[in-house]
Amino acid sequence: MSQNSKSSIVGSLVALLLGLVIAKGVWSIIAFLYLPKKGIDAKEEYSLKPLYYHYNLASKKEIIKPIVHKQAPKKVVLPKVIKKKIVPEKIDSFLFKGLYDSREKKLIVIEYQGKTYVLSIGEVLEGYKFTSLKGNTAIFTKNGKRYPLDIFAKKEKKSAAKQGASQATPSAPNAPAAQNTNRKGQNQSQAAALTIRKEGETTIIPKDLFDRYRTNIRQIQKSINAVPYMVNGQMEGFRVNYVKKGSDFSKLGIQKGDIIISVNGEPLNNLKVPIEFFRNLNTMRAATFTIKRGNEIKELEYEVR
Amino acid sequence: MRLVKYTLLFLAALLIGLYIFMPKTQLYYKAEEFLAQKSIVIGNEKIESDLRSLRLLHPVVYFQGADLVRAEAVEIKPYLLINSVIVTNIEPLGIAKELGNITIENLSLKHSVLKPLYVKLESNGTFGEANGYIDLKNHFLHIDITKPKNIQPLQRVLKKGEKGWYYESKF
Repeated sequence: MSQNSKSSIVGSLVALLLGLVIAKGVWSIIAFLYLPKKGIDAKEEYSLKPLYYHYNLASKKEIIKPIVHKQAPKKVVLPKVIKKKIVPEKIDSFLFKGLYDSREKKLIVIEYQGKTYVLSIGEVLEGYKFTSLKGNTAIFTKNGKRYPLDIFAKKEKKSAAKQGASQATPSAPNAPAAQNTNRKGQNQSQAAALTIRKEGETTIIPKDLFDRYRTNIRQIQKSINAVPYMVNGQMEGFRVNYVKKGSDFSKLGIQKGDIIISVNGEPLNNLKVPIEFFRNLNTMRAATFTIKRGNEIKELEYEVR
Repeated sequence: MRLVKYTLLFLAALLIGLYIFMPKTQLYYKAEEFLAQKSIVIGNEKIESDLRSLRLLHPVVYFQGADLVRAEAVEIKPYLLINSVIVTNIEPLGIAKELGNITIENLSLKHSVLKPLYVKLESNGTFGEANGYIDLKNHFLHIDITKPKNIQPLQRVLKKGEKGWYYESKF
């Protein structure tokens, strides 16, 4: 092999190696200076908790104010103790009427002896300290013992008892007129069972109607349309573009042009809240929508019954 | 003449070196950072990298914290001059599933340095076959449904043109 060809091979190898080394060096410098060592993982999900009982958080001052029982001493020391002479023997004396569960605060609504109390974590009612909230169950402690209380536990017992009593009531004689009246009454009650109505400020959505839409999201899409409302690239809610006239949705008080800014107190600044809302529809008993109509902020309250 | 030969060899080696030694995983992490600024997060993925490509297995795409779609695999082939991303078996999740249960069998995105601000896309799935492009300069997406099959769930967002159904959006 001539000296000339030898030097040509060496030169070629040097050129190749140099190219590879420079490439490696360039990437090493870029990776060291600009590229991250770790990726981004999806953040842990939180779920939007539906309101299980209608309670207007904005207007009910007792929810925001600390609860002070009438007979409680003036100076309240944390944890707040609400004393009363009669101590319930069982936790069943409490009716767990509703809850508000958000990342910031957890509140429960308890009915006891015809009065309604709103408790946050750490507060005490009749010696029972509200310690935690797990799903639909509020956990109380007293004298080191744990007392779980399910939502609507007492109410359900009551309604079951009522239902039993009505079934036990003897029926009318088999007269045709009475049967017709019964049928008419049944039809009317069936129609009424699917009619959205107002009770004060609250819109009552019949459960059968609610379930009908809950299982058919396409039907919802046909009746109402809302799109994310963006301001400077940041989502600030959902703008209602369309509400079908005469549809059930037109009876919900939502109008074209409204901007839904929060659901159950959770601001609609991302898609997760509405998605969680739809996911939890099957357990939802009440909801509060905060909407912006022009310059006015309104609260629309709904209860599923 | 010899200098030209060495220079060409050097450039070829540089190009091959840039391709072989490309820190694909770290570049993917950087892309994740850019996507995160748009509230898009790719999670749950298993990353496999070799000399040729980067593979993401079973990634879930989250938008604003909500899981939207899951894919079986994403293969990214960064050939520098011609780059491609091939996504297989994309299925909707959560509310996206409720709104229109459409699955995409294959989605292919191709980018060439000859047209740096243009990405060509081809896709097929339960809706039929589609192709289109992304205009990166004008932030514009156009997709033509070339062979429609079951487009009913998509009709709400599609427009009808002379050539058939199409989708357009600005981003």
